[in-house]
Amino acid sequence: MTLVYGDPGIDPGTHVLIVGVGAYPFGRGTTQPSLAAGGLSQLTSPPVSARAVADWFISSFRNRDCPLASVELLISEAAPTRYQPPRPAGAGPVIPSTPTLENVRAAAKDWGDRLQSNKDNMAAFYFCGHGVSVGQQAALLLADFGKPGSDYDGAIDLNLLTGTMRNSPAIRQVYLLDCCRTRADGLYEYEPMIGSRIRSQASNRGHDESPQQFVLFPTLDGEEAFGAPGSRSAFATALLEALDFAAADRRTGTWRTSTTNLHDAIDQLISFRVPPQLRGRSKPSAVESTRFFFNDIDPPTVARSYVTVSDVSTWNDDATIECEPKGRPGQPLSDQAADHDDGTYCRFELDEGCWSFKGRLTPPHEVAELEQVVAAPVAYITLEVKR
Amino acid sequence: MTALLLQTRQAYAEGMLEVGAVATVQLVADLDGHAAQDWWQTQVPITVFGQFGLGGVPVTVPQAGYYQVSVALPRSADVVQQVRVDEDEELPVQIDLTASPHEYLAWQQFSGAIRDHPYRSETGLADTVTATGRVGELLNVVRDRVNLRPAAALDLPTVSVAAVAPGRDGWLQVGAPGASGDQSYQGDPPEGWPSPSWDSEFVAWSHTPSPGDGAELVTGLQGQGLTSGLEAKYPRWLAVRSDGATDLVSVPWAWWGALREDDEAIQFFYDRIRPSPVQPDQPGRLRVTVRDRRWFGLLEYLGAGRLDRAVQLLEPAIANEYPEEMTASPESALYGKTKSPLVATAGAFILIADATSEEPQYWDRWLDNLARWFPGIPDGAILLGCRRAEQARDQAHLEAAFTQVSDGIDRGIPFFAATMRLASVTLARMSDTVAGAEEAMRTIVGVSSRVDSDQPFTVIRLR
Repeated sequence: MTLVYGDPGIDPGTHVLIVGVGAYPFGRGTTQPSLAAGGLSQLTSPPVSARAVADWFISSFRNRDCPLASVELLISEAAPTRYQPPRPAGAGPVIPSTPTLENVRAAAKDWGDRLQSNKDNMAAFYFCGHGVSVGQQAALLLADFGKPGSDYDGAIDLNLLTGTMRNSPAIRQVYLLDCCRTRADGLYEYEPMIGSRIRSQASNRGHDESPQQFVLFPTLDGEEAFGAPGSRSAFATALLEALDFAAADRRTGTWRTSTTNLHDAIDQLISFRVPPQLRGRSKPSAVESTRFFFNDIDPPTVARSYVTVSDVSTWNDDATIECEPKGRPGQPLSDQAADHDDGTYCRFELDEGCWSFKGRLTPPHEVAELEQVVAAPVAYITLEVKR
Repeated sequence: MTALLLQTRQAYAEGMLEVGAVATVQLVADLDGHAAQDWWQTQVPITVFGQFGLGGVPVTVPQAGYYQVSVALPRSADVVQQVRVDEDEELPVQIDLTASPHEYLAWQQFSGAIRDHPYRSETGLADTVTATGRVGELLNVVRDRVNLRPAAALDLPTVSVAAVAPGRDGWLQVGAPGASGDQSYQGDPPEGWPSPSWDSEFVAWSHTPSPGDGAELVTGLQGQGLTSGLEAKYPRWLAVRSDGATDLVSVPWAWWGALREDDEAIQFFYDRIRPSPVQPDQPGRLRVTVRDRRWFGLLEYLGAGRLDRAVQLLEPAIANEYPEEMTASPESALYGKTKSPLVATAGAFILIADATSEEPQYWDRWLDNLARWFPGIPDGAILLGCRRAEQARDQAHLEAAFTQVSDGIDRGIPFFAATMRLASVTLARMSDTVAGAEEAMRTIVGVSSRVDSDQPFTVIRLR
């Protein structure tokens, strides 16, 4: 079972394909590690992240021009667990299909077929799991990667995916690739083309508008950077915050996120959670960074304010940030680093206006105070560590 | 008039970038600090001045109040300031970019090719990480990786003229396993090759053709080839070797043609410490930059994968080259009248990648000219084929587009890394229905899997 949400009456609509690969049966720690996949660790973040992203699309995604129409979900995990869609009311739980090549192809066929109905449909693809990339080649590793006899087939070749989808009539396409990068990149030494095509599509676009693709492939370096065990990945957390508020602006008169805003917001939000040396091992290609609107949000009523320090090596659980409104009545606020163990930040929900920020670190480190006007939906404040 | 005067400066840099970066100015609050009721934001291309530059870019704003000013750097975090401007004030906003002890690489510091905090240890204020929790764990990982990196090679890298076979054979030669041991990459340096500037982290060379040589190099791209003297000085390919690793560089010698300012140059620099993304277990990475007043910012945004920002700099870059031509005919401003067809190729890529319509645009017909008149630029035919593939209405059109792409591959490896990526995606699109497309994909994949995708020009780490 892969379709966890569907509303056939929506046209044009947004059609989503989500793949979370945590269990690699031919990977490390299994009874049958293979030559190709034996270096792949078992991951616990992807099933959690994939479920969180599915939940978000089904319960929170809004696009007035292109509402949610379908969500396909495939998950591999150590112990297959049901997924309960947040709506519609009365929807029963399902056990998502395992993301083997065969199952992903079947889901991609359905996903792609639905996108054919209208050029104004929007495609969204989210993958979480192991990824390999060298140079301009990249592959997303599926659950049956490394299966003897078809060692390199159980993966999605990224160029084949985005290239084929340029034949789809659906103009707007978003690809969010939440990959754990490890030394498995070395596989490209032996085989320059890893992975398979998951969808075949002849060109039948039927109109003159060029495809607008947006691919975000931040790839955090190593399992440690990818995410804490059993939790949402760092990228998934940043992605959902960006979609919920951080990537939105009201340049059109209403609050909407755009793809390039997503890129900037996710970059910023990940920076609180992963040191720069473990980020950005590969960059999105300029071919696929076009700008278009993605989702609508309600007008934000607060400025979600992230406060960090200029040198994160001085940060620890004892760090405290305080803020108080300037020039108007209001209570001072305080937040502890210990309440945000996934990163080096404190967070406040502030009313818009001028605030004074100060912090306390473990001696001998000190930070300078800062006054800044904050405005919805998000503010980022960095306090300078004194030298 | 209420305005901000954006004065962005890169310490130690020579000259300036007339069209250097994109700045965003957004109204945040009124003078009393109350949040702005109406949305107002503008994005402008800005000049980035070097060490001794004077001046700024005026940005008219709608009212007095608080504004957030962000300068988007190609590879580093945006530089952000919040300022308060009074009614009818023209407020200078001084934005000083991070200085670097590698003064000879100041513009590379701007582009983010040099590490973000050059005056600090890579793990922070001290080698001992005091952060705790998950981030402490991550910083320990970083510290261990930094400390356990193989030591940088003591010897300076060697630079050689590289002999790459013409046409499709070149792809196969360069993409072959064991290519780094090929004698074709172990010859003499180019004639007149300069001595490097170097320190413990970087080694750099600057080597740029004279205007006369530049004009001849452009002629050479038309297919007549170069005189042996010019070829010895400015070979299409350079090999840079260090500690067993070889980087092959496609050099855009003809970038300026006969029109170059004194402070503009082609620079090569080698990071002795940090690895190439193509070979993360080995220290050493080569980059090539074209320090052009009008195009450097755009090229570096392109290399960093920020098409949206590169697009914003394209029109001002062209306008700064030939403002009269821009008004009369953007087409001629971009081709023929600009410095050289390599500049036009960069512009062409951006226009194609950013196109929202498959209907013929003003620049479509000169894609044909670029491909036809400059067979020495493989990118021309490839970009033409990719564009025609987007515009294909039926199988016959698609096959004609493939023929163009294939012709481009037959001309050799492209100058621009992004061209190679576009070719891969286009061939992937065709490979189901067009004979030969799958084979063409396999031809180029040996090279595309070794390209440093963080640079605008083609730099290949050989196997």
